Order: sequence, then structure tokens, then C-alpha cells
Amino acid sequence: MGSERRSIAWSRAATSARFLMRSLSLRGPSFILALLAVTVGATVVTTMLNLKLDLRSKMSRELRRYGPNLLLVPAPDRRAGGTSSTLDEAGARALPSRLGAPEAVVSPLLLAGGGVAAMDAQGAPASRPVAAATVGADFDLLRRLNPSWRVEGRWPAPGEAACLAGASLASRAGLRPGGRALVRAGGEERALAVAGIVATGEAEDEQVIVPLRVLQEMTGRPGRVSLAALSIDGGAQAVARAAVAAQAALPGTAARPLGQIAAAQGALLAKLDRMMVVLTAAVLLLSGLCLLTTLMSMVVEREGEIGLMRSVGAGDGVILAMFAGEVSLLGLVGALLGWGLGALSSGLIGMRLFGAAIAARADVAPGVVLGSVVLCFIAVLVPLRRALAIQPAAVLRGE
Amino acid sequence: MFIRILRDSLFRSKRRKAIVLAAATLGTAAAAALGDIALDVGDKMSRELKAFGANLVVLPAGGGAPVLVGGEDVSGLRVPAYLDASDVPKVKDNFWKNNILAIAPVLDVPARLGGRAVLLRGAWIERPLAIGDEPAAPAGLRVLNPLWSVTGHWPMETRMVAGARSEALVGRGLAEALGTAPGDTIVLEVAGRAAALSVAGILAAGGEEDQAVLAPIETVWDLSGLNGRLSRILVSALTTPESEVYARLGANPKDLPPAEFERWSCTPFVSSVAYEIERTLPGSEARVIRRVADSEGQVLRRTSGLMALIAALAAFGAALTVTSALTTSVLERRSEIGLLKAMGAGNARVVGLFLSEAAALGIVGGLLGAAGGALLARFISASVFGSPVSIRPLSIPLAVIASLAITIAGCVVPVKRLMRLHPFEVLRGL
Repeated sequence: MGSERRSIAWSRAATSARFLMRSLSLRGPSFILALLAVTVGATVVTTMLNLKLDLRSKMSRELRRYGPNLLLVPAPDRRAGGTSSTLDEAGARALPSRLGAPEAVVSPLLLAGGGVAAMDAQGAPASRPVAAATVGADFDLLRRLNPSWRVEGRWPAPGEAACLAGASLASRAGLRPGGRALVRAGGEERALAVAGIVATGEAEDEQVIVPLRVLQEMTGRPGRVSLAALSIDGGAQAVARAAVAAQAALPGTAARPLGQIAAAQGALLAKLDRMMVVLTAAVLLLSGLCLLTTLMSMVVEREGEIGLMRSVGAGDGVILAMFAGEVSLLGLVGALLGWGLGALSSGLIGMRLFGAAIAARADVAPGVVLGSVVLCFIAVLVPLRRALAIQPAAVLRGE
Repeated sequence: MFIRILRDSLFRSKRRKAIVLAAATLGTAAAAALGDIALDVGDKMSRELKAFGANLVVLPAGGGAPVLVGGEDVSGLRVPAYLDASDVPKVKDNFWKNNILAIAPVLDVPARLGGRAVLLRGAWIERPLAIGDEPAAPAGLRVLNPLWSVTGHWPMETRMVAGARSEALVGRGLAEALGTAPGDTIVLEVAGRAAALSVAGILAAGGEEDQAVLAPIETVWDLSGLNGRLSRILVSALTTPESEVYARLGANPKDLPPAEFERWSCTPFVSSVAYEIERTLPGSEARVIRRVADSEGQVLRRTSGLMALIAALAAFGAALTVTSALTTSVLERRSEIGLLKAMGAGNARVVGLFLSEAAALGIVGGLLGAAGGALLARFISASVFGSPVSIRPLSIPLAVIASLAITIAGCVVPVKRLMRLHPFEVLRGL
């Protein structure tokens, strides 16, 4: 008795499976088209989700071009003391790791009054000394902090006795890239090669930038810097948090957020975030609807087949099971293919736009797969209900 | 006959047609909306980027104005040179007047306050500036720096009148150090003379202004005796990112060949705007603030590129989906094709019938999609940028043509395949 029931159930399942396989093999081109529709929808949605989730960090990196957004200076009360108006260089250099923000860029700077004069080939001063603010900097860090600076000539190499001159200063003092300059600061004079001329349109145009070590020696302040300029990712709130943390990490300092830059960066990031959310929602909705209509057209076209199956005695359950099997396969395979292709396309967009691939996110996959399968079921069940309500004879007669 | 068959075919199986039409409409709407936004996002973003402040600064030629750091003159022995205040409108009254969004004339003067050297900055706060016959637009620091915030109120833009005290803003850092609050009176020492100013508000600017005193320019003229003089004029201009070629040559536009020079000077590159300002204002030097101008270009390039790629992706996806929907609907009508051919219809006639049907669906879908896309683009732009996207009239015919091309393409391939069959094969269901 029990075995008989089991064998009936087994033969039913086998029939359903055979129906499914027959349906798939007979309708090869149609099935592939449906699969294509699901895959394309899933690809577009996966790409949008990957972009949305990674855009903030990519754009934050882009916004570093605006330069420092936080300055760390000696606290005002210590400034009055004169000699102690400096920070510890090692402490300033260690700031990114101490703030727990390794992607932050810090540039220690030492400022001094002074002057500069061009030198001729024989090493004699070729021009009257021109007063200039002298800045000591680590060129490697300075360059990373200010990626938008334009240098005519080249940046000085690490350890090289060379300087960068501001554009206005260079034109007044007659400095040229490849020439030599006599830099005066702290009562001492040094002959340095002029590696490049920097034009920023701001205060740097009036400065001469020399290696930090050289200016520390000239002014007798080894291991000390006047200020540390930092670039923190993530807008005004991140900068405000870093400001508090930096003051705690280096006692005796005051943090000055460059609020305009940080706030504008934050506003821009928020705007981009919003844009991506709205666009992702719109694309999600439209590609979902598009997929829905495409799949619906496929079921509608098969009303005749449904009528035939019913007329030879197939119950609603068998037909439903067949369609459900087909559609689950469709949704699963299409979504997985789409997820893979979407990861590929977002990676390509990242490479093309930002020079760094946008990472494919595994946590996007379950949502995309589930969404596709649910959508496929809706797309099939709605027209199927109608198909099942019709009398087989009417459908077969083509009415 | 043909028309009747076509009409019959279009209206008989309404549900099938409605579904294909919906797919075409939705696909076109997605592509059209994203396309509209992609074309407009550059303009929208560059207005957002104005929050970073001026991208150009106009200085007296030779950079002759004193450079003040915390009130100390660090520029040394030079004879100070100034710009003339009567030249201010010229900065805007040139070829690029529609691209120059905001200007702010500034005069920096060293002063002493509470025993310390401070920077006294005179500037236009916010006042109307009319160029030619055009309606006056606001200009000044407040327009240039929309993110500045003031506790208290902004100072009145009036000249000092006897009896009434002029108003000024005190930077946040300076106010904290001095314990100043809005409504207090500060005594500034300028050029050896003391003058009392009332503090209208505390300025949080997030830059060097946080350590300075900011007052309307007439107040500073009266205090310093530098009547009608300016240290510099800050300019915020709407520019397009400099292409690689011009970025390299931009330093010396005169070296460009004449045709290239023409193209360069007619494109709103930041360097060509600077060049035009220098040309209309003799004795001035317009410098590009690279930090702002270059970053702007980079961010714009990235955003526009991103939007263009997303739009292309959505258009491609929509095209494929619509094509697959149409292909199914054609493949399922093979028996109809067989019947038509059995009744003596030639290949051309059958293909014509299917293509006309697809074209009708494509045109209607394209029109509906263009309208829907425009609405969607407006909604998205309004919710993200607070201003609706400008709809280009050209986008409607473009959307219709694209939708037409896609529906016809989706039709041609399967119909051609069915053409190869003999009528009896089709009718027997092979």
C-alpha cells in the first residue's frame, strides 16, 4: 500500500521532471532569451549596487586633491613662549597611525622668515636677495598631500639638496628650474639647486620650499616642526573627530579644521551618495518592470500549450510545478550569471574612471538572486492564473 | 488588405501587444532618464563644487600687494601695488560674463587688536552688481563662500556715518582667543589710528578668515586711508575641465597655432577665463587657484564619466530585454506566418507586416518612454540637486529613433529565420 503510493508519487515526480526537461529542450531559443533578460537585469542591478557601495571611498580619494583639511599647530598659550612654538616631528609623522586612520596623509612643515637670491654658474649671487617665507617640508609627503600642484621642472628627490620655488617669487628673484638659489633663513645661507617652480595660485607662490632637515639645521631646531597639515577622508564630521583625537594624541597642540574644504567635501559626498541611491532605486524599479513584462509575454505566448496539457488531463498542480521549476532555474542561473557579469562591469567602470577596480561584493549576491527569483515567480504566476482559469477547448480553438 | 491585416494584428491580441509596448516604454524611459541626467550632471555638479570657493584670483600685475600672514607683512621690501576699485565690473564684463558666477573684491590691511597683530580684511559682503543691461546679480564674499556661517548677523554694507559705529565680523579663532561675542565693541588700531567697531557676528569660515577681522570695504578704506584700492579680486567661474593638451600648453596660450588658440579661447577652460580677465583689465594678473580648479576638473570628469557609463549600461540592458521580448512574440507566431504564406503572401509582404507592427510599437513606446524618462529625470534631479534637469528637445526624437531601431532589430532576426521555412513545415508545427 505504502510502496504503491510511493511509486505513484515517484512516477508523478518523474513525469514533472520529464515535462520540465522536454519543455526546456523544445523551447531552447525561448528559454535562452528569457535567461538573457534575467541576466541583463541582474547585471545592471549588480553593477549599480557595487558602484553605490564603493563610490564613497573612491570619491573620498578623489577629493584629496583639495589638499589638507586639518592643520595641527602649537597651542596658543605655548606659542607666546617663543622658543617652544614648535611640535615634535616624530609625533607629527606618527599621527595617521595614532588617529587610527592609516589612509590619512600628514605633512610636517617648518616655517621661517628669510630670503632667496638666484645664483649664477660660478656660485656668486646673481640677483638682489628677495624676502620670502621659507618652508621646510618632506617633499614626498608634501606631494601626496597636494596632488593638484603643478610643478614646472621636477619635484626634488629624497635627500637631494634642492628646493621648490613659488611662481611669483621665482619671477621676481629670477629663479629657473635647473638653476641654483641662495636661500637665507635663521641667519644662515645655503646654496640649493632649484628643482622646480610651483604655481598654486595661493600662498605657496610666494614661498621657497626646502628639505625639512636643511631648514631644521639652518634655524637650529632639529626634530621640530611648526605645524602638521593633514588630509582626512570623509567630510566635516570625520575631520572634527580627527581634530579631537589629534589634540589628545599630541598634547600642547591645537587642531584647526579647514572647515570650508571639509564641509564642501562632505556636502559633495552626501550629494553623490544621494544621487546613487536614487539612480539605483530607479534602475532597480525599471529593470524589474522590464523583466516582468518580458517574462509575462513568454507565458502569454504559451497559453496554447497550457490548454493542451490540461486537455490531456494535467492538473493545475502539475502545470504550476512545471512552470515553477522552469522559473526557479531561470531566476537562479540568470541571477548568478548577472552577478558575475555585474562584478566584471563594475570592476571595468572602476578601472576606467578611478584607475582602481571597484570590488565585487559578495553580500550583493543573495539580494540579487532572491530578487530575481521572486520577480520571475510573480512574472509567471500572474498570467498563469489567468491561463488556468480558461477552458481548454476555448484556448485550443484559438479564442 | 495590408492595412486591414496590420490593424487586425495590432488590435486582436491586445495583451501581447500591451506587454511588448510596456517593455519598450520602460526600457526607453530608463535610458532616456539616465541620458538626460548624464548630459546635465556636469553643470549641476560644477555648481555644487562652487562651495569650495574661488578658483581664480586677480592680483595687481607683478603680485605687488602685501602678503599678510596673521597680520604680519611677509612680502618684504616691495613697494605695494593695488588694483583700482572702479575696475571691479570689468572682471565680469567680458566674454565670460555668464560663466563668472561670483566675484569678491578684497583689501587686506595689517592692524592691531588687543595687543596682537591681526589681519583686517575689507571686502564686498553681499551687494548687487549689474553688468550692462542685465539684471543685477549678487556679488561678494557671502556669495562666493556659501558654507561660511555667522553667529549673530552679517554686517551692513554701509559707509561709516558720524555717530553710528561700523560693523565687522570677527573670525572664530580670534574671537575665542579674545573672548569676543556678537554685540561687543572692539578697538582696532589701523595705520597708527584707533577706531571702534561693533561686532555684528562671529565668522566660522574654516580658513585664514577665522583669525581675521572682516569688514565692509568702505569701512576699511576709511580706516586705512587706502581709498578705492584693492589687494585682489576673488573670482568663481564655471569652467570645463582642461583637456590634457591644453593643460600642457595652457601656460603659454600665445604659443598655440592660431586655429588652436581660437578654440582654446572660446572654451571656458579656467586658463582661458583667466586670460580673458587679464585682457579686459590691463595691469592685472589673473592666477588660477590650482587646488580648487584642478580638483573641480577631476571630480567633474569622474562624475560625468560615471553617469555616461551608467546610462550606456542601462540603455544596453533595456535594448537587450526589449529585443528578447519581441523575439519571443515573433517566434510564437510562426503558424500565422505559415498561414499567410500558404495563402500566397510573399516574403516581402510578411516581413513588411511584422516590421510595420514592430515600428508602430516602437514609435508609441519611444514617445511614452521619452515622456516618462523626462518626468523621471526631473524627479531625480529635483530630489538630488534641488533643481530640475533641463530637458533637451532633441532627446525626444532620439528616444523614438532608438526605440524604433531596437524594436525593428528585435523583429528582423526571428522573422528572417522563419522565412526560410516552408509554409507546410510551419503549419504542421515543426
